[in-house]
Amino acid sequence: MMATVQLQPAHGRPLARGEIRLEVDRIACDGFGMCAELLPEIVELDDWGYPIVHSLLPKKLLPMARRAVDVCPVLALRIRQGH
Amino acid sequence: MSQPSLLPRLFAGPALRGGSEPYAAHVERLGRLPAIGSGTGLIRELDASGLLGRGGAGFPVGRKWRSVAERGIGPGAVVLVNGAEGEPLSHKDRALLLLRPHLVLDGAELAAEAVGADEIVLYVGERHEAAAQSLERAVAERAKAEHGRRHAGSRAGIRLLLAPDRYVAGEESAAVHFANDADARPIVTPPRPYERGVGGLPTLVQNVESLAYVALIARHGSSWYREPGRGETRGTTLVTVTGPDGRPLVHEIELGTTIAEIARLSETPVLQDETQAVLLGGYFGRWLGAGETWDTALDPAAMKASGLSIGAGVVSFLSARTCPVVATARIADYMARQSAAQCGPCVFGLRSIAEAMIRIARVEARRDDLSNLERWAAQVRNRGACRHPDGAVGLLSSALETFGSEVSRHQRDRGCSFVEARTMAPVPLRRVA
Ligand SMILES: Cc1cc2nc3c(=O)[nH]c(=O)nc-3n(C[C@H](O)[C@H](O)[C@H](O)COP(=O)(O)O)c2cc1C
Ligand code: SF4
Ligand code: SF4
Repeated sequence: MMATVQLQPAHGRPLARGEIRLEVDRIACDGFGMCAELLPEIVELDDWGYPIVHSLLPKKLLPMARRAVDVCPVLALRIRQGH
Repeated sequence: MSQPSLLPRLFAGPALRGGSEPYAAHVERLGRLPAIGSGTGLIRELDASGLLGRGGAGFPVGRKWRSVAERGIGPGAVVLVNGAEGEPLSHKDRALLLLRPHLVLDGAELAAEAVGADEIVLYVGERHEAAAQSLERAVAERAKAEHGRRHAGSRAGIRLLLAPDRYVAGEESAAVHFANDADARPIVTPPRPYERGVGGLPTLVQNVESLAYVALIARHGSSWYREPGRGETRGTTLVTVTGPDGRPLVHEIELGTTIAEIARLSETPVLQDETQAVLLGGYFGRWLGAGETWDTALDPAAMKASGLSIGAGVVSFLSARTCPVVATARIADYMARQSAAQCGPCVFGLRSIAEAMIRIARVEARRDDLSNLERWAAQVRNRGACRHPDGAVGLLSSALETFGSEVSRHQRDRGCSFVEARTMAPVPLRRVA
């Protein structure tokens, strides 16, 4: 079952100071879904198993996001912070 | 030099049926390339002209040159002349390359000088053989004529590359990728080409039509460029007009010209009451109902305000006798097959969308096909490395809006209101499970 699909609000735009975004390299990502398991608060999977990052990253999830970056089997994730 | 006329401008000069204008005639008609000094003067002139890129996105040309010049003067830069023209309904770029190659080369040389480029890469769709030959001949003519003489841009080397026959090959990062590694698939950005492109250097990727206008603005000035135009966006543009019958024709029009006037430019005139819809912007564009859009002016600024775009200048008319659901399914199928097959949401999303759309068109829809289509369109948007999926689902969404009742007739009642199922898309409607 798929919840409402909300696209990442900050998609593409430069980040404001203090904002953190989890970004997916769409070419590298193979849709293993590890990131959605670790970060269900901000990531859900589309109908084909690829991640939709629907919100900016709340600061308290930063450690978990760092873990997701490490466990992504194809190194498709990165964390970008606004300065 | 003769007094330049308001229209035609790119296609002024010798009769078009005479083919490619030779270099000597070009120089006699327009004079040699003006010296541009540091280049910032020309960039300011381009800003003042309001010239927008003609490859589809409509980005201001002057602003793009400045971003590249800021990075390129000193370390070096590259100018990539985009004549891939992968859009099946567009013919204007190959027409321009075929008939007025020296305008494009003038623009490329001016660009090279203004942004500090040492190399010009000419990137022409491999399918556009006559255009590529015309350009190649033009390069040779210039080399011969200018032998031993210094002129604008002459220090930049020129490389001609044939772009693979894929829709996505003309996307800017794909073009850069091809120039670097002979692979015309998009790459992940940032860095964007203006930051790091061909050979790692800042690269100005510019459509051939954009560059041809630069060649004229450098000679006649921005006020000359801005003379025609009926609304906010000034100037002229090339469009490819395709009616339900007949071949596509390329025209140069004043910005602000209405769809109704463009209908009269089709090879066989298009009448409003025989037209169901207009496809504006090609396979990347939108379907608009003929009635509501007949008086729309092709003015990028005004169109932007209502969420529309002229794209790469494609205006195609759908006959009132043709099923729009079939026409849309064919385009969706084409776009799915043209995915560069790198990003999951694009590969699987466009395929699922095309298959559902084909089932609906063939009146073999599953119960959830229509609701799936709407959800998938939302899921796919913004989730590719390039804008290919966005273009594809934008067109699909416009079809669901514009042809809603015919779509549900197909889906719910398993019927089609049209007998004739012939459309402008070259893709046959295959059967999908
Ligand atoms: C899928 C895709 C295909 C494209 N194909 C072309 C093309 O064939 N020719 C072109 O000039 N621009 C094409 N573009 C646009 C280019 O990325 C780029 O914006 C353009 O060449 C810049 O030139 P301009 O600013 O003069 O328009 C394409 C874009 C996308 C997303
Ligand atoms: S963990 Fe990596 S490969 Fe797997 S879905 Fe997330 S981003 Fe894609
Ligand atoms: S979005 Fe589609 S066309 Fe663009 S790079 Fe990804 S797979 Fe290729």
